[in-house]
Amino acid sequence: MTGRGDERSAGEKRWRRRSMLLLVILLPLVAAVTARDSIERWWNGRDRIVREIAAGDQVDFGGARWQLHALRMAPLPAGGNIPDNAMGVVADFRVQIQDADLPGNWRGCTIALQDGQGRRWMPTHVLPLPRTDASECISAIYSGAKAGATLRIRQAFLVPREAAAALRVTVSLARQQPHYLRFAQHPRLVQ
Amino acid sequence: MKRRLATLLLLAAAAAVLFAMQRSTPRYDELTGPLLVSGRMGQPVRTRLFDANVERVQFARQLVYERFDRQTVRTTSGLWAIVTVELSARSRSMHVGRASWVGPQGFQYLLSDRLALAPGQSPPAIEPGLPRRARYFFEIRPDQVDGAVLWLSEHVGPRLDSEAHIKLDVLPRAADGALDVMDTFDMNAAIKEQP
Amino acid sequence: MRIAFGKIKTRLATGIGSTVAVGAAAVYSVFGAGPPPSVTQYTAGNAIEAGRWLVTPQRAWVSRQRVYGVTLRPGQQALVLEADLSNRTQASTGVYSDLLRPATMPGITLEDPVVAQVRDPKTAPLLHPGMPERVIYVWMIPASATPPASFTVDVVGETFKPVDNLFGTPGWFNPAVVGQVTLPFGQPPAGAEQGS
Repeated sequence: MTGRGDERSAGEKRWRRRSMLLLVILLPLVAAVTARDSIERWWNGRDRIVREIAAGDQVDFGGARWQLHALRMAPLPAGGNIPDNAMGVVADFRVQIQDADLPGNWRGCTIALQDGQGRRWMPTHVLPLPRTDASECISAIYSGAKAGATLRIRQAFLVPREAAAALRVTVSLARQQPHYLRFAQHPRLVQ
Repeated sequence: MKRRLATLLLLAAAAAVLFAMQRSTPRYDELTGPLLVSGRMGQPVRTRLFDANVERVQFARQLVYERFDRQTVRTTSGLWAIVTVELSARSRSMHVGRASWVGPQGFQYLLSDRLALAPGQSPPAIEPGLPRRARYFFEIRPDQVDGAVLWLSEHVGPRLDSEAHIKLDVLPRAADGALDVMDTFDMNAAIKEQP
Repeated sequence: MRIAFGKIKTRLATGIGSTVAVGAAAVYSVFGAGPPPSVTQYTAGNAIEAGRWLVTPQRAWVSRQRVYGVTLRPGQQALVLEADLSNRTQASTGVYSDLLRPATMPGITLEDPVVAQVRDPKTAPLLHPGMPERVIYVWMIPASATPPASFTVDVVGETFKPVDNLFGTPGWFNPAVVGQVTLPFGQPPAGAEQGS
């Protein structure tokens, strides 16, 4: 009886050790499988993969052909909503629509300025710009433009003067993430 | 007998430890709640997205502002507390969506909604590299002045995001140590002198 | 080993639970079948504790003009109730539309009230902890309807639960009528109505 008991307990001990080892492997595996969907969505929902666009080039992105027509900057005097040391930057795009489904393709359209350290500037509404037929990206979604039309997209930014010369424009669309565009052109000082 | 006693004692100790663990487990809203960053007036408090430096606190019995040549007076049953904060964004443009005056017993006084048409009361976003001065107006009870804390965050009720808790320890005092309360605070004049 | 229970004791032990349940149900139905408990009656000037708010109704009147900044559309009149509200919660809040519920009046259907502050021409003001403020509740009714002589309003209060059952967060739940206020329709105070 004692002999058989020893054998059984030795077998038990071996299997217990194996099970503990397997647990260490299985638990992270189960966590990974359950969380795979959310991790994928998070990983692909950020601006990670950049497409660099040289100055003057056109690029097909989100069902349209984008071209950075002009990127101008001018120092602004402080006052009202404009803080000290501010530079106003205006980005002008000419976009030729190929796929007219703008609400789908251009959902989450974000045009921002980025510097070398990863700081981002979002568009501002405090600059009193002259009214032209250019519109912002979000308003252009509901403009009802058809395929073949060329839209003018204009966004204004407020940036510090010392960082303005090294900025680049990025364009990001929700459907195209993690890919996003970065135009190599730096702002040109006007007046 | 001794073994039974020892087992019983061990069981009682285990029960006590489990009970203490159950009672001290933080609740869901604490576990997923704001990450606090504490600071005091006069020093920049660094959170994930913005730095805040509370410059001064003022008190007034009524506010006055002028818009389109019409003067409006705002009275209150308590005191108006005016907090001037210098804000700078760290990595991207953002808005400070929530500012509240929290008294010593934990009463949260949110920003007054009676000043929607006053000058300077819907500030634009803070851009990285361009610090901006914001003025927050609260209506508070006079007994909530000492030991108050200012809470600042990007969203209302931040979930796993920073919330700055800044002690408002430098209050305007008169020569005899009592609180210095202005009769009228002119909002237009304040903007002209310190935008 | 001794048998734990005799046969009779076993039957009792197994049946005790169901006996208690049936007995309790019988007692509830006997006591619940009586008339509903009466609601506490209040008049103007009584402070009523109603969950988030301490309400002190002041007066009521019928208005046909702009009252404290609340404009009426043509063809409407307003039932106005003026009350002092004091916030009993920990943070500034604007949840007071369900606080006062007028009793049903024949021929009149009521919408949600518009609440305005007496101090400013501001609707839906944010009220701060421990700072009582005078507000008016305005219920719009068609101008052709005839309001009764007095205004009966139920005061609805909720109870505070520091830990709720779903998320473990604090909140106010279970609205219940804590009292009833009856005010005669009188005259508005001076300066309330500002001619459309």
